[in-house]
Amino acid sequence: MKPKPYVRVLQYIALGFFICFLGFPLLWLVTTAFKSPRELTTINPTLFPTMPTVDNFFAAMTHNNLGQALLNSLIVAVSTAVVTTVLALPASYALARNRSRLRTVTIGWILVSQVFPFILIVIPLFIVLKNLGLLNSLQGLVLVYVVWSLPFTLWMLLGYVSAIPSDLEEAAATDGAGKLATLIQIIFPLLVPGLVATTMFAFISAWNEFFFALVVIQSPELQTAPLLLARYVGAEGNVQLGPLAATALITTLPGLLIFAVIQRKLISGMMAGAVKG
Amino acid sequence: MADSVASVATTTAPKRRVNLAQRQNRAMWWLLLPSLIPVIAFSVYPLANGIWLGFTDAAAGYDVRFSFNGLNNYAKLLKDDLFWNSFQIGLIWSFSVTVIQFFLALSLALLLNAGLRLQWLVRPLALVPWAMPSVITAILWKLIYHPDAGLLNAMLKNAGLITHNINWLGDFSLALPAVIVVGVWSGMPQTTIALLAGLQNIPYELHESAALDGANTWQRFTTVTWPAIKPVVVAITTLDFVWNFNSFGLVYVLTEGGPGGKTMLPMLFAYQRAFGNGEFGYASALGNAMVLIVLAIMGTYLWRQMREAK
Amino acid sequence: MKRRLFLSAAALGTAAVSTGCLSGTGGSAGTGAGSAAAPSGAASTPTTPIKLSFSTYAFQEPTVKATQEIVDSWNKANPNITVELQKVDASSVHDKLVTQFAGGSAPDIIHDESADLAGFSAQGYLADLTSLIPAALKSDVADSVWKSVTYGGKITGIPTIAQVYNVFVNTDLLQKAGIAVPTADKPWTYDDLAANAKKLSSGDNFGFAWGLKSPTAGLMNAGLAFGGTFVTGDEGKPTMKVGDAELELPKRIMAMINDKAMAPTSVSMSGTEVLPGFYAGKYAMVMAGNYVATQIKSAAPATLKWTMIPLIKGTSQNQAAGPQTLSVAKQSKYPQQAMAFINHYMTAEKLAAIGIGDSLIPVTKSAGDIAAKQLGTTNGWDVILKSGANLADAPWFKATKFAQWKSDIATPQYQQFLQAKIDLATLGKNLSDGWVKVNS
Repeated sequence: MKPKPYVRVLQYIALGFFICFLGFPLLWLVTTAFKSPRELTTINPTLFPTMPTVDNFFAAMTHNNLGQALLNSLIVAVSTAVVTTVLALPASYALARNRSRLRTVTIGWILVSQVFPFILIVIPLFIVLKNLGLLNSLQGLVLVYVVWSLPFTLWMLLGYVSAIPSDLEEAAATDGAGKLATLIQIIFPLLVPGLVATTMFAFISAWNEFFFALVVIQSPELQTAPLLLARYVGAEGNVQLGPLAATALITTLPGLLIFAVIQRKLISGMMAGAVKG
Repeated sequence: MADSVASVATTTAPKRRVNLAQRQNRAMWWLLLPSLIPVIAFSVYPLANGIWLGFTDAAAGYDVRFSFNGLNNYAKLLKDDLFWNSFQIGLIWSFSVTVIQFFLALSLALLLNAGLRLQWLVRPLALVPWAMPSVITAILWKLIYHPDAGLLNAMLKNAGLITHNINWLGDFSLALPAVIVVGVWSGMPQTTIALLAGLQNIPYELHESAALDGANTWQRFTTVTWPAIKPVVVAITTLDFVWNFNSFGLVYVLTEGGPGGKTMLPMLFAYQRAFGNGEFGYASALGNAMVLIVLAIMGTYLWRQMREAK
Repeated sequence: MKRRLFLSAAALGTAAVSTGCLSGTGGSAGTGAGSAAAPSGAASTPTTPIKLSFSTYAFQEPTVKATQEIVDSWNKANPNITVELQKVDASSVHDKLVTQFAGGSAPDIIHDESADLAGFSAQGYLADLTSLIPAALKSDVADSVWKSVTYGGKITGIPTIAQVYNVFVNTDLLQKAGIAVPTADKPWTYDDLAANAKKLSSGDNFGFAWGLKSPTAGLMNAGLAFGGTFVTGDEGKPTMKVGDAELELPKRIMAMINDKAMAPTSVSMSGTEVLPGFYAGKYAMVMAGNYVATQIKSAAPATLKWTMIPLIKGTSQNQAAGPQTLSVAKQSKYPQQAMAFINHYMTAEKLAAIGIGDSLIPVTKSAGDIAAKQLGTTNGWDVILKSGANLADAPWFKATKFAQWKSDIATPQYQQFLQAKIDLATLGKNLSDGWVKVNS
């Protein structure tokens, strides 16, 4: 059922539009990171730098300790991904296998928590963290991120677990296998693709997050990479464009790489979630 | 012998079933416990506190005590011109971004599902806006929109479409559309992926049999594709509308609500009230009002989901 | 049974965190902490080492270096009182302070600007420093500047460096057009500015540009040159009168735009967004806060010859004083030591280094003299440093509702006026009506 040639041509034109629309800003970001300060304030900007330089990256690394910020981001993102998955896995299993009122409430909470705006919780959350002594700490940030990625992670994992027929477990039970053994040997391997996707998703959400970090982190040595960006924006729109673009590019890279890898899993995850959720 | 074994089996079976159910229930709670505690502490409790603040006169101040003041905040809200302004802008923004995004995402999803040759490039590209932190997206587009040194004006001037530089984010009539474009760009991946998943769920045979029946591309779309993806469309557009209405970070970095309040989304307004004026109670009331509005819009979708889950 | 156990654990947990209600007293020991709890004597070395946190939004590189040097030199001289530097980004100073004050985790020494102090002072978050200021410092700073940091009769911030709005000119372009650069004894009036800007404009190039994206500060502060004081009456219930004097500067700006002497797009750009046009020679003259000089020095092409000219004269050359400030949080446990650090910051050479780094005017005469000696006449610095004498107290900063009026009423109204959506009379009416509404 091949479409007619003129349809094909139109499709490629449309595709070209999307490539430009989606990819152009990214290209702009990349080339800006390699431009010198003089070039960044010219009135006739060119797409590619006329005198490319890597100074911006060095400036970002040395003057504002980008390396430390990247390390902080890495610690926070990895911890968030691991803890979220460790919590969500048993929880999603319990919810998928047991049709109870709690399951309805949880699904309700998952959906409702998507609705609640950030502004409602910023100050109460700040106070809670302060009372627990978790303010200005990476642990506090991780806890906040975990709780806020749980809804989407649970949703996705719920879909994946529901897709595994319970007959498999029942068959294993009649074969004499204990519950724990069933879980580890049969269920877990089937969940691995879904787990990979959700873990990586939690990682990226934590890595990219800015506003909670802005509220929670006070000390410069604890700042995560996105917070570093705000440092380049002074008063009255005073911006150090070069280092800003360099920092922005480095900060975006993990997201791009991870998404390139998990794009297929993400699609199947949303399929499962949309159908079963 | 077989009789006795059978009789033993039947007499002991009920007791085993009851124990299993009880054990399953308890097991379930153990599995849920580690998640429940942080969720209650860091999500449910702050939310509840935040909601409650909306019924108080909480404000910034050293040694200030606040008290319950009932529906005063809401009465004030209804009389506040600036609230109605931001509400209106919120509606225009959400509606525009959701609709434009939907059409673009659907086109892109259809293209990605059409077996074209450049798929290896376009699929990851489609996810770029999602991979980028929203702060970076905003800063990036601010650079593109810069009147003198920005790329957009340079390209438009080179193409001969404009003669004088336009201040996209500063002009009263252009700021909201300019910001909407960024909103569309930023939110496209989620919608595209959801629609793509829906499209890929359609069995190929359906398309084949429709083609064999003599349907052309457009007819195939209306009779096979559209009905099949309708549930996904409803789901994702509702969610999109909600996410967009609550949007804060992107527009805040882009315009901070200006010029002259032309891009003051509801959440930006609430943020300004809380952090600019220290009116925590009033800002929380604003948040509560937003939630009610959004819940009302989401009402049907939630109801259906809850019923299915039972 | 498990269910009951779970529920009680949850209740326990919730009770533990519920003590953190939004009460604002945060971690401080109560109302007496501000003045009475301090040990006797000035910055006496305490027996146990203490740590002070100092948040600053210093952004431009030389200033950051100067600030670090101040902290390092203090820590070396005072081993028992360690000052910890916290860098804050300039765009979120206010918001961060709101969260920190509410949560009781504000830094001991706070770098902010005087315009922002009104709200925090009224909310009681800033310590009263009036009695802690040494006499030498008091006499080194002009009275009008002290007035600009006095709220409710209390000085809640020590002024450090001040900004004026001055015009940066491209000397080559001026020379080509046969326009002489004004000198301190013969400054330009706004009429001169308009006439010269017209001479310098042709086609897509304009003689004058002003990044008025945040119009209120620029138009009101510089508008003091025409005597527009806006607010009268006592601090409790100030009334606003928007008369001819108050509307003169906006009127002149609009006239320049209509005369095609001023770039119309510049009014919706920020102060630094107009710089690329200035570098490229598109705008011959640019009005901006003088802190911009640091950026021009580092980012402008080497071929650009520029200077700052004396403050433009209306009926006078006065502009509103809105200096940067150092305050002490009321929550701070060591106000005396904090003030001692501020004194250290304010020593002449150190303050001069800060001022030179940020291209802003040090408020003390001694620091001003050092800066003058160092900068000489380059780029018109001698003229600008002397213009510290033109800093006048702006009464509107004292009004508690000023910040809200500024963001809700003034900024949108000025923006609409500059983009020709409303006329001058409507602007005046809306500004004063809005003031009444905000204060009701």
